[in-house]
Amino acid sequence: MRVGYTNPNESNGGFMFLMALTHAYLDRTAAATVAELTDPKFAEYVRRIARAVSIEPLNSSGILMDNMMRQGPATYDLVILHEALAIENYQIAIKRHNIPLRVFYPKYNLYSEHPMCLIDHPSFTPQQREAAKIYQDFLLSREIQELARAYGYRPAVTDVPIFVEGSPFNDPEIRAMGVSNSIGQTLVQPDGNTLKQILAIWNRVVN
Amino acid sequence: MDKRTLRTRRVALLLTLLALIVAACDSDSAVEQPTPLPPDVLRLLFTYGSEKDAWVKAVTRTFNAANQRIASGKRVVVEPVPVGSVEGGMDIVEGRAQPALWSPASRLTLPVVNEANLAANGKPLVEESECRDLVISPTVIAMWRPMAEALGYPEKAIGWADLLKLATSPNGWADYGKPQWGRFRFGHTHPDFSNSGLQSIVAIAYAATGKQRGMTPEDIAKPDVQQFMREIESSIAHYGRSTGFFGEAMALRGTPYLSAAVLYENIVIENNSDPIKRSRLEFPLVAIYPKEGALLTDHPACIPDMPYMTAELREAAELYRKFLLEEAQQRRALEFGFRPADPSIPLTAPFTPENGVDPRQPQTTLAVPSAATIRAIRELWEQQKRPVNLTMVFDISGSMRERNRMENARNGAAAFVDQLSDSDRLTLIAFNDKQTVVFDDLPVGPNRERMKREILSLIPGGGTALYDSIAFAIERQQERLSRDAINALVVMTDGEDNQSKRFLDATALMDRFGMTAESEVDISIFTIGYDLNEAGLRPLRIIAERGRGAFYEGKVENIREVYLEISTFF
Repeated sequence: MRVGYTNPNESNGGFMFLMALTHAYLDRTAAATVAELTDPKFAEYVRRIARAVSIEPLNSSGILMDNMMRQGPATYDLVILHEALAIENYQIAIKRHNIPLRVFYPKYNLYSEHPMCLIDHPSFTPQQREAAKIYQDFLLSREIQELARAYGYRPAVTDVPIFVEGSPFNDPEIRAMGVSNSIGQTLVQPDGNTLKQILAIWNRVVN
Repeated sequence: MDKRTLRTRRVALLLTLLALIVAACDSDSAVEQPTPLPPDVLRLLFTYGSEKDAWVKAVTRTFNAANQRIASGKRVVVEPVPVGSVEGGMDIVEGRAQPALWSPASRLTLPVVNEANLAANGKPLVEESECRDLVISPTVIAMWRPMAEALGYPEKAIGWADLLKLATSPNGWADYGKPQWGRFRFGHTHPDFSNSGLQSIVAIAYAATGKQRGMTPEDIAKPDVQQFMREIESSIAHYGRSTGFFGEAMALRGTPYLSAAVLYENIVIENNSDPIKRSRLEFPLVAIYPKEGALLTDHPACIPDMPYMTAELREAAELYRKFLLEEAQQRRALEFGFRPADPSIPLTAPFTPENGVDPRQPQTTLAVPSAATIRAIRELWEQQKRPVNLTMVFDISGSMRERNRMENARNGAAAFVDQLSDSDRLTLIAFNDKQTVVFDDLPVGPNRERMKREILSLIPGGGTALYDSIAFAIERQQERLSRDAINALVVMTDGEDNQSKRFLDATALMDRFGMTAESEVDISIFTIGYDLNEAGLRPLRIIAERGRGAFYEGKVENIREVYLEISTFF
């Protein structure tokens, strides 16, 4: 099986892949603990997965998707990345390779929420803070949220529906590729220390 | 010769060949002084693998005409310079060129050059993940359509294992009901100089290990991998420095010269789709995408991490690279037989079965191995490559006294001997109006210094019996032809024939000794026309063309480099 993924040390998509793997091992949504992860069985599980997906990881999900579209099924059987990239590339896969993409959601999953943060630092003036807030409000406006939906992103503003007439999420072809409201069970993210532990174990078994 | 010495010699050879190119550029600039650049212009040197030269030149003209500017307002003028993929990288490592953007033919080159820069300058030359692929072309086995059909094309997937069976069979094509095609004759370039040669030996190693990724130096050390490499290499006609040469020579010379060669998919398309090129083909060519997996030439464009890279140069390089990846330029790549890196552009014409290619192929790609594995494969190939059984036919007629011809030719021939492997065998025939066997069929290893001494003491005098001397050399070589070696002649002459009795012209000579499909063992004839006018060069072209070899024109100033260039065929 040729599985493409991004480097968890460099890419959000890669780290999300690790989280989904960890919860598949735990077989639950509740947050992982350091004690569970230091069990040698977990390292062995990660090692087996890493061996099975031994394609050299790339450092960004966008580049990985481009590569998959460029090289097609000759190089990748499946890639692990964000739903939006699959939707965006649906037509490209058909045009370039005459093969439709299929989407699968892991049993334990999480959203990539794209948080936008105002930086709390003395160098920022009140005007800059105000300007950033205006921009943030603009991005969260109905019009821009609908535009994001056209690119395959689920709107963050809950009163902008996802599965609605005119949305790619309602397009029969996109639905047929497996895009669904059921994205798997949302897992609970652990504390920072446990996240570092997961990454450390991955790096140890991969290198 | 131990591996280290051979590698050192190869590097020295590479530097000499580069010096030849640099010297040629210098002499051009001496004739035509470049106009100084206006202060608002930023010159951007772009060096790249020569395979994509036509596309790069076409789109760069558009870029330069569009007055593209960086933030400071300076206009960017790109100077595109095609070079060999490995050579282009080594140019930067060794400080001979300072391109702001470099694009070898494939990512396979990157670990090799990064390793070299790490040793020379303490850090990798490029950040691999920062490189952007410009266009794509799978590396394929180009084969004549009827031959591929005999192997089951297009229904059956063909791979290296099929070629191995053909290469090792004493019956050759007779096993497939085609005895008239003779033996299986195969070609790929020299991996020390050419990307497709390096890709060939990596693909062969992958096929031998049965892997498609994760190949290690331990895999390469296994005896069956070594045997696979040796047996495939046993069908090699000769090596060479340029993929383009193989494409051209195969197209012009037809089935008796080569049954198949490792080329890029775009070369197959070019030969089949260009009406002029198509009309000269004996049969159409088809691309075999080996069933064990194919390597891609992905033409990564990389910004070197070197001290000469200013912020402005980096900005300009990014601007130009972005331009190359825009849709208009990507669409133009199709015209030149390349798959656009932009995946939203479908593979329409010329990617059609009539042009011998299949856009749904390859079914499997091979991963770029680690630098240590590539090094192990190169060393394995060095041990298992086909040795050469060579005769040098060296003109010592009286005219060689003129203009330092003799001294420079002797030095060139001696340098050539330095490039041969220990296991190669060499004969030297000096000729004027008669032939003298100076030394005869000696192994190079223990005799290298003696051979060079003999060459350096040759003295000119007498007339020129070129055709009869070549016939003499061929007949002697025919007595000791080796199926396990590349059998070759390297002929150097500075004069038109005025003494031959048996063969009065090149056509008569080659009617007798020219290539045929039926020959059990082939002899390749490489010719050097030395300080000759066009009338003197013409017969040497005919002899090389009909003798499975290559022709070179040499001058007193570059005869050494010409000899070294010929050494890359072995």
